[in-house]
Amino acid sequence: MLLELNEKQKKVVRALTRNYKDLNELKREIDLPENILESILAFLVEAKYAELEQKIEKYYDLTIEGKEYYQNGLPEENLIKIINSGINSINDLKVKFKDLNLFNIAILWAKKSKWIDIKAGKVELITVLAEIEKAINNIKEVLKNPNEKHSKDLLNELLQRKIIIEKERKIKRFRLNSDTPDEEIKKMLELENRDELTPEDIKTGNWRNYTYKKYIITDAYNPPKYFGKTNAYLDFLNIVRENLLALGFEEFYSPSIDLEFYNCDILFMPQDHVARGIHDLFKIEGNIKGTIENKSLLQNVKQIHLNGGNTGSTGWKYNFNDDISRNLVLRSQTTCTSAHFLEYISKERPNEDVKMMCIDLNWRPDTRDRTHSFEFRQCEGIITGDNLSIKNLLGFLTEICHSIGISEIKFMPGYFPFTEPSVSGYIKHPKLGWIEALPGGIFRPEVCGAYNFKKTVLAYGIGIDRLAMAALDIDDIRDLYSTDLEKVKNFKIYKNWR
Amino acid sequence: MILEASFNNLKKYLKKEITFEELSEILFQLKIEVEKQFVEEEEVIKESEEETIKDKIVFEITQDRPDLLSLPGIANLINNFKWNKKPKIDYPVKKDEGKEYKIKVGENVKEIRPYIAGAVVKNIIISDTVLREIMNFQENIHKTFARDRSKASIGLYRFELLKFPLHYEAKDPIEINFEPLGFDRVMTAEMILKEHPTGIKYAHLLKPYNKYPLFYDDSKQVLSLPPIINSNFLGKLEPDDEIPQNVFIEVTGWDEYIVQKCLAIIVMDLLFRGGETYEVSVEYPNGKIIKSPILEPIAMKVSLKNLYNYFGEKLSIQKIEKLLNKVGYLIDSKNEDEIIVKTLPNRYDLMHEVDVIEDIIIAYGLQNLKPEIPKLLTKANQHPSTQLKNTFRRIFANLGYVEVLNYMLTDENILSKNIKNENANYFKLKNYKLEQFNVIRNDLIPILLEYLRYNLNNPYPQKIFEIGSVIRPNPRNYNCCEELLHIAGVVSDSRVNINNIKNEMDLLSKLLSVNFKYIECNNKICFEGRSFKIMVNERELGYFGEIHPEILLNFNLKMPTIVFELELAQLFPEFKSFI
Repeated sequence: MLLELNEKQKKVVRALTRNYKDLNELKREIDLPENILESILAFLVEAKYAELEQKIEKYYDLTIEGKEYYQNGLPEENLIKIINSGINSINDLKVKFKDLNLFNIAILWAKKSKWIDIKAGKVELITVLAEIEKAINNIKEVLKNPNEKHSKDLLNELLQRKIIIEKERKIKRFRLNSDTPDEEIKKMLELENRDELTPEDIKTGNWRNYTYKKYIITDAYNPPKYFGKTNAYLDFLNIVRENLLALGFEEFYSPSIDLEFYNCDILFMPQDHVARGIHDLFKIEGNIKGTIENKSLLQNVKQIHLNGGNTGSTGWKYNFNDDISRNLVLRSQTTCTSAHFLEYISKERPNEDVKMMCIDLNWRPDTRDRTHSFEFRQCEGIITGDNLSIKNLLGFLTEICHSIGISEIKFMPGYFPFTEPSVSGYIKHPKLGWIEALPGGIFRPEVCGAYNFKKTVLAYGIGIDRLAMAALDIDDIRDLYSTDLEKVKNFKIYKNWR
Repeated sequence: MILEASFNNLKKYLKKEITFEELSEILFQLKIEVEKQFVEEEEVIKESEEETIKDKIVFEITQDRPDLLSLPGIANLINNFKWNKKPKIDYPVKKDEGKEYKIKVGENVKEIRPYIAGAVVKNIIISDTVLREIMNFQENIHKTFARDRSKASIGLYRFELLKFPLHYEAKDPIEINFEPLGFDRVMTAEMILKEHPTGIKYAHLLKPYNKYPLFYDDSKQVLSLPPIINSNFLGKLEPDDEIPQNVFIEVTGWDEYIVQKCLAIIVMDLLFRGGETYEVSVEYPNGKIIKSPILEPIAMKVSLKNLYNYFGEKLSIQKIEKLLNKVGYLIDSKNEDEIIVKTLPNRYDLMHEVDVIEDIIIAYGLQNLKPEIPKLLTKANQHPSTQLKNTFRRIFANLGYVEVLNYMLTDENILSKNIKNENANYFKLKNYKLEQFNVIRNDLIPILLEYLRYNLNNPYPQKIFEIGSVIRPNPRNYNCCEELLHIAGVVSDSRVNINNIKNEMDLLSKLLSVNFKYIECNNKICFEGRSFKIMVNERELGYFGEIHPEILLNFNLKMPTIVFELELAQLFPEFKSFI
């Protein structure tokens, strides 16, 4: 298979030949930053498209002295020039030369080369000027390019004079791999391999001429870190809501802060009932009292507590205190919402059959643990009709569980002040076992009687948090209200299509 | 209500062998939960005799059945239910030839603790275990049915030592002195209320009065100081494994019905144990004489039509009778439309025919009923607030916010000190359990800032929102408050730009086809010059801004943070309420 090369890599391949080229030469030829060029070359060698030869080479370089001579002329050259201008007394020459050291060198080498002779303080040329110049030029040629071809004697002389010095260096040379046929290289260079498909490519149709690099994905787990998301538990509650809508339920809400009248009295809980104590009901601080606007309802409830009113009940046989009824509490059960709903339908739609649902918060001073919270949601429902039985109540509770994939359910009798018969349903949690989650019953005549409501009312207040725990396989109720953002973001989706 | 008992003792009353699993299964159907707190016999390593019950089982009894706090009471029910033993409901109240057991009530208890009722139970073997059970039963009734003795209080006495008639009168505390139960010295009423553990516990029941009720016999021996404590002599039963004993029982309280019911509950427990009861008469100052205990079976009329309706199908009368017998009732009379049933006098929960219907359903067994969805055509309707919430949830999730879910209850500091708002308007709970959750939120932003505090070690940017109720006092409403639907978001990162939120608000206004106007405001939690009110027509919808560093530090936050909060009702004034 051909190697897919990018444009930069191709540039380098094009510059390589069958013969070795020095790295420096390549650097000059190829317009790429040095580090990139070197890494591409290394890559090509690795991929066996190029060969590398490394060797040590000797070469000559100018010494500091040599460099100076190259710039300012050789001392003997300068000496000859001055002599040639007509000065020949040693003393005068010394003055002209300034640097005595250089003067001595000049005299030494001019004498050694047999260009001059010194007689009685005077210097005189003994060789033809043209020959001297030729000799000087030879030296200067060496200084200019010490590594060109020069006579061995001259080089030795200059080495001796420490004008030039012999050094060693490593050199890297590259050539195309001799095993790779020309054809393959040609093809490789013609292959148009691209990283990205650009709008330009699409518009011009050039994408037809190019091939695009394959994407390589790694096995490393790397989900996106930042994204928006609706809350998974609220999404689950929406599914429950949709299921109930499909069964013909209408949604209804009531305030979170309510009067004990609606939370308790109307639900036939005697005013000294244990579930009305400070361990079961959050009360609002300050001596604030609400208003019971429906006076006739208040009268009916009072009568029913005392002697059952016209409901056929004995009642609780005590005198009920309005002041307690007006206390503000945080709703402790969504049955309180049902109490408001009954007030509404008994007045507005007394002859209509209805199904009401409400998924809302409740509060109780419970100690928090895996299955208890001081703030929790119930899925409240009431169904009114003329021929409703306890079987129908079990039917709705079962259906709601089934609709969210909970199939293991069992019922036992229960006790709630406002329903008779009462049912307490349990669901099987995959880890926690049987948990109580399905309280319900048929509203007592003492409850419906307060509104003079004639139909049978099935009622339940499902512990929907616990159902969610079983459906979503969560074993701590607090995880539904998690304060860990990462947990919230990665909360498993409820697969309602199962 | 909890009853702790010995499994072996229960088996003694049952007069049958039963495994714990069988027991648990039966009781589950009778709405009693039972838990085992012992290991099976073979696993027990014999240790020295201890006071604690070795084969302890714990029953959880529902509120409506104080009669089942009695262990023989439970055994009686199981015998009816499991082994079809015909219920015995007639327990005669006998009269001793030529003797009258009378309690004379003084005028002055009327304002303190007006009612008293008594009973004599004879020929009962009170072994050590039985005594412990009776005391336990009495205490359980005190705690639950009698609401910590405020509704009724019970006393048991050694009948042989009493000189009749007995007297129930209010006395000056300083005149009262006797040896209270558990103490071997004479104490005044005041001392008892201050020093005796039971006296300290129940002192509040007598403290409001100048005089205290005293129960004493005709030779001035004190029986008890109701509802506090018995005498250490007359009121202390001694166990005896062989010789049957006679016991006198008294109940005092504020409500005559409750007092009689309480007495019936206690007496029935002793009768189940083999005792027989004798009549006591109470003479009130107005001359009225009331006889007790009242053990007349309770009679209830049940319409068969209603029974069938609740049941969901017809049952034969023979079947109904069988079911009734299983749960302790006898049919007294019947015709085509209704039956009259009778049961034991210690039942407190029979107020209406539905209570009997429930018992029939229990006897039938919920597990034998087939769940059925009725054919009932009704109109479904989603509440507008649900639709509204879902719309906003989608919009903000799509804008990259993660939706979080916080409690409505929070820490008072979060709504006041942390956001430098000392006059914040919120409700506090009278009986909160944790400081961390002692107030009801009135805004969402402080809650979301607190949320960020929990996530200091999680990656940034953190972009979260929440939609939900906030509550503020409002005396104009029947419940003294208004509950508003809010949405709020916060964005926290090393660099934030308020324009991002402004752009999001622009988008929102475009999607909703509503014009938003932004007016600079000086929100206290925001950096000066960096907060803006959002106006819709003339209504204030909310605001957005950058949180002031001082506020950030109050929440321990180190990253710049921008926020918005909207009150959704302001967008849709046509809706009166979203709850």
